[in-house]
Parts: sequence; structure tokens; C-alpha cells
Amino acid sequence: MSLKELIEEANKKAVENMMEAEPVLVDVKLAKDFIPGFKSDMILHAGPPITWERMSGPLKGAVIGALMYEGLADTPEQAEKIASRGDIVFKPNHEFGGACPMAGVVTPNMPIYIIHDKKFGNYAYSNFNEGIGKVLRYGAYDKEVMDRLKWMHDELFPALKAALHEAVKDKGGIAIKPLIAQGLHMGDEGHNRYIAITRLFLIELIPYLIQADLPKDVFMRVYTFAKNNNFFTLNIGMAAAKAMTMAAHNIKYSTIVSVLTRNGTDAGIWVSGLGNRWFTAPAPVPKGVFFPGFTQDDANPDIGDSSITETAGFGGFAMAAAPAIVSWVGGSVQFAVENTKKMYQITYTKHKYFTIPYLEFQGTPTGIDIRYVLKTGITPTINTGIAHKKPGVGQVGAGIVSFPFELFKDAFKAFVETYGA
Amino acid sequence: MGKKCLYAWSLGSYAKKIINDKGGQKALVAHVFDNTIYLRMNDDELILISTYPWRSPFTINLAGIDYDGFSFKSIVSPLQKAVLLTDKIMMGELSIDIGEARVYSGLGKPASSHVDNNYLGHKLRLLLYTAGIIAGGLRNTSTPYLHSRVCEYLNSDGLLSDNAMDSLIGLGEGFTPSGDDIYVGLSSAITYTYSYVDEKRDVASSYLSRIKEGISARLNQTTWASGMYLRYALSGLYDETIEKILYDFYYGDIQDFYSSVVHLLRRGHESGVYLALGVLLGLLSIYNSFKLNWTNKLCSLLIG
Repeated sequence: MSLKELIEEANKKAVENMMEAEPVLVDVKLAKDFIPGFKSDMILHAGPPITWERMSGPLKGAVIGALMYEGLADTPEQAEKIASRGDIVFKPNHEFGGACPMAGVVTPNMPIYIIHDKKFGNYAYSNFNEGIGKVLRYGAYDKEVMDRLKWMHDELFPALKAALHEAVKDKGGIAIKPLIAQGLHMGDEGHNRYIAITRLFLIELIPYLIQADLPKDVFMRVYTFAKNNNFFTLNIGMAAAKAMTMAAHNIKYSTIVSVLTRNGTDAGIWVSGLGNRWFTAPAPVPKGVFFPGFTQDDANPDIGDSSITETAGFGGFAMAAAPAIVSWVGGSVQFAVENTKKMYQITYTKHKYFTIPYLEFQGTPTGIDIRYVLKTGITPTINTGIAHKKPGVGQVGAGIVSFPFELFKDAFKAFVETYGA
Repeated sequence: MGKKCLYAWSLGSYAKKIINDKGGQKALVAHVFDNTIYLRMNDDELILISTYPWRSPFTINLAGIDYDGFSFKSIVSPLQKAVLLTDKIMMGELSIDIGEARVYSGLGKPASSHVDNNYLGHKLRLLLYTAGIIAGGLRNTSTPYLHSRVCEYLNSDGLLSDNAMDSLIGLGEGFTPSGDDIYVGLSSAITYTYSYVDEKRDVASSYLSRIKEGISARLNQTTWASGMYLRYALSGLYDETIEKILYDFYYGDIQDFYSSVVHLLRRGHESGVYLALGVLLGLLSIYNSFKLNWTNKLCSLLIG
């Protein structure tokens, strides 16, 4: 078989696998009980690998908060000292099958969602979503943040575990792909807009929360937290997207991007046919809409694993399905539509199951192909939350950002060097 | 619409010569695109006016354009007359000041020119696989036919044969047919080598007369504008995206060369890909002593 045929066959398989994956939420666990080899001195984070010295403000802030959450430090100063003297091992979530928004920090005693891909057998994880504003994932770590994390560990985690136990007994868990597909028809795009998907998820979850026979006040706190947080299911959607892209990863000869992420300092990608090799470039700064009192000058370079949604064919690539999102991330409805149309130029196919009513139910652009990025010069454009560049502040807005071309240029050169023998 | 005055930052040396030689005469606006205007003089000369940054000896590059909303189409129409003066070009409501533009005559070769033969094989392989994989992934409906024809000739009597030129010049979709783009790239590689690479001048010379004769005889197979690109390439006139590849092939490092290849590939809808393939085929003609088994490799990328 010729190299052209091998590439085509590999890419076809990669996107087929991505689309046919069946991510199902099956459990919640503490990270140390699920992630193999997760040691007490380890912290997982979003994006490509990075050292403490090169971390941006929000990632440092999240690490500081995480060390206090774990009881390894009593004060931010103490946490900073621990992190800076090399006592902590930092590793990317993606290398362990995870995808977590913004700083994406996961420590051993944090609860995580477990997604099982029933088609291909992969497992993926993501952490719990805290809401917007002053939250750990945006680098905030004050008492309000710590109290919320504690409640999530002590009450939300066991409640969800009990509910998911019922869901698994009843029907094997909660299937996520149908919720995303339906959400795209209800005005969500699955990255920065989860209003419909969260409602759809709660419709699935509530009967099992009831069956779990929780005390009424616990039930009400869990329900109220979930219904008031429009991003409650973002992390579940991301873990589902991670499972989808894992099914497309490590396929020899494939030029399809299987990871697209950033850590607040660097952006990074994986290409299916090149395995877990990172290609990195400086992370760009998003342009967007800012919360009152903040401006573009406050914005940190882009951060988070959440671009796994675009990697899997939804999120910013499906913005044409979510006209109302422009009030959150900026731009115009026309931009949202144009962005989706533009992304078709750099993707391998149109999604079988994720469709966009406004575009005559066309499938979403799916499977970023580094060949097309190289040819067109168009890079993946996504929507994103914006963190303050200083540790401890949190989210200051949301916006739009394009990945640097250099990532794809370097990856393509590596592809040629690997397969062009 | 009111008068629009634009300024040129680069004036190609050949365009300057045409204007000086034929100044005060009128030209015809042959084609207008959002970012380029094709001026035609006496059926046998082309001057390109462009808002793109890449220069050529026959291009006038404009500065100070609002790229978001700008389009020549709203200012100039095909078949309008243009007046060419030594300091100004006028077309209807559009006036272009060329008095302060820097004259561009090409990159040529480095002052201390020395071809490092150690890396040429690696660079050829990089170009072959980069251009070949990108070309193999193109989704145009006519692509398979074009690729099969190219490979048919590569595997028989070569692209410089009468049969190949009969078939490929003018073949393909778009403003500059892909077959022509291949020959523009190929001609550029041979003329650049002939002009700037002393140790390969004799080899290049042996191909130069053949392609000049063969292509010149077939310019009526294609469009006027595409034919002009071919004619200019045979005279050693091509833009800097093509010249930069050749410059970096002979005198640059591998990273610079790869960047030049990627830059060219991104040009146009598909033109950049076929220009790059043409450059590759021209260089492979010059360096046919490399034992790359390159025809099979390239065709395995183009047609499978």
C-alpha cells in the first residue's frame, strides 16, 4: 500500500473511531484511586509539560490552592516554597487519559469523573467543575474557593457516586454523546455554552439522585449547585471528548490531531500517528469580553485542556449551533457561523452525529488534519475562558483564540521525518 | 466613489523597466481580484499590482491597506485603461504613487556563495514528502486525473517531453491551471540554478533550451495570465516565495528551507502546492544523480 493510501486509511480510521466512540459516565472516584501511579507528591495539570518556574500566574495559583487543599501547605507562601524547591512532580493530564479545564490541576484526593468508552474500551477522566469567577481552575485559592472544594469532596462527590451507582445498575451509566448531540440542537456548542446540556444531564441524573436516597438537604444542595452552574457538565463533556480522541490516537500514519491544549505558557498538540510526542509553541492571549473591572491587559495567555472539545468536533468548531454564545465570548453571530465554516477547511470530515441545524444539519467539522492546516495556514480557532495573569484572582472573561501555526508546521516536519523514509 | 490614492512600498525592477520604456502609454486592466490587479501591456507584458507582501521583479506591492475590508473589486473594473507614469499609475478613481517605492530585483545569491552539498539530499527528501503529502491530500475533483497524468509522464519520457507539455500545460482548474504551476516551478528551479549556482550551470543549461523551446511553443494552450507567469519564469522572473525556496535549497539551513517550502505551499488555493512540486521536479532534474528512487516515492504520494 502506498503512503498516500496508508495516510488516507489511517485518517479515516481515526475519525471513524472518534465519531463512533461511546463515552458513558460510569463513576466518580478520588484521583488517587483511579489514575495508576498517582503519587502523593504529584500534581496533574492542563496543557503540555511545564516546570514550576515557567508556569503562568493562574497555573501557579491553582497549584498553590491544590497544595493547601491536600493539606501539604497551610499558607500560599508555604505552598509556593514547596512547589519551587522541586518537591512536587508536575505531569500533564493528557498523559494519563485526562482533560481538565483551565489550570486543570488534579491532586490525589480530588474527585474526578470517570468516562468509559463502551465501544473501544478506553477510560478518560476530568475533575469537577466549581462554577465561574473565583475558582481554583482559574488560579484562585482564597477561603471561598477552599470551602467549595471541601464541600465538593465531602458532599457532592459521595452524592454523585451514589447516583451513578444507581445509573450503572439501571443502564450502565449516563451516555454523554447523545446529550452533546441534542445540546447542539438546543443552542449549545459544548465548550463555553453548556446551558442546555447541563439541563439534559440533570434530567438524566435526578432520578438516580432520588433513588440514591440522599438526605433531602443534601439532595437540594447538590441539585442547586448543579442547576446554578451552567458549566456543571463542561468537565464531563471534556472527559467524553478525551475518550473520543483517545480512540483516534496512536494510529500509525494518521495526520489527525488527537490533543490540542495549553497550559497558560505553551500551547501543545499531539498528532495521532506520532504518538505522545508533544509539539509546543507559546500560548496565544485570547481576545474577548471581560467581567466588569477587568480589561485585555489582565488576560493571561490561553490555558486549559478544554480545547479537547474542538479536537473531538464540537465546542468552538460548532459555534454556528450556538448564536447566543457571542454574548459570552464576544464576536458576532456571523463570526460564529463563519468560524464553523472555516474549520471545515482544516478538518478531515463532517461529524456523523453532531449536526448543526442552522447549516442544514451538516455535521460539525471533525478531525483536525495537519495537512490542511499546513496547506491553508488556517489554524484551529476556539472559544475559551480567560484567566487573570496573576495568581489568586480567577476568571476575568471569555473570548476567542487561534492556535499558533508553528505547532502544526513542526508536527508536519516530524511526520515527514517519521514516515518519509 | 471618491478618488483613492495608494502607495507602493516595492516596485519590481522589471516592472520599473517596462514603465520607463513605455511610460505614458496605456495598459489594460486584464483581471481584478480582491488583492491583485493584472495589468496587460501590448499583449506581451504583465505588471502585477498586489496587496500581498511577497515581491517579484514584475510586481508592485502596496502599503497601508486596510486588509479587513479592502478589495480592488470595489475600485477597479476589468477592461479599464491604466496610465503608467514613472511616479504614478492611474486607473479610473485609483491612483498609485510609485515614486518612493524601493526597487526589488530578486534575492540572487549570498555574497560568499557556497553550496553545502551535504544537506541537499536531505532537503530534496523534505521537499518531496512535504509537497507530495500535501498534494496527495488535496480534495479537488480534478486532482486525481492531474496526478495520474503527471506520474504517467514521470514514469515514461519525463515532463520535458512534447507529449507531457502537450498534455499538462493548461491542465487543471483555477486562474493558473495546476499543470502550468508545475512548469512555472520547474522553470524557476532551472533558471535560478543556471543564473546563481556555478557548479550546476552546465546541467541547468542543458535543460534550459529544451524548456524554453517546449513551453514557449505551447503558451496558446493556456490563459494569458498563466502564460505570462510561464514566460517570465523562463526568463528568470519569479516571485520571492519561489526564489526563497531555491535560495535556501542551495545556501540556507534546513530549517529555513522547510519554512520557505511551507510558505510557498500556503499560496493560493492550490497554486502553491503545484509550484512547490514543480520546483522539486526541477531540482530533481538537476540532481538526478541522487539515488532517491524519487519517481516511485512521489507517485506513491500523489496517486497511491
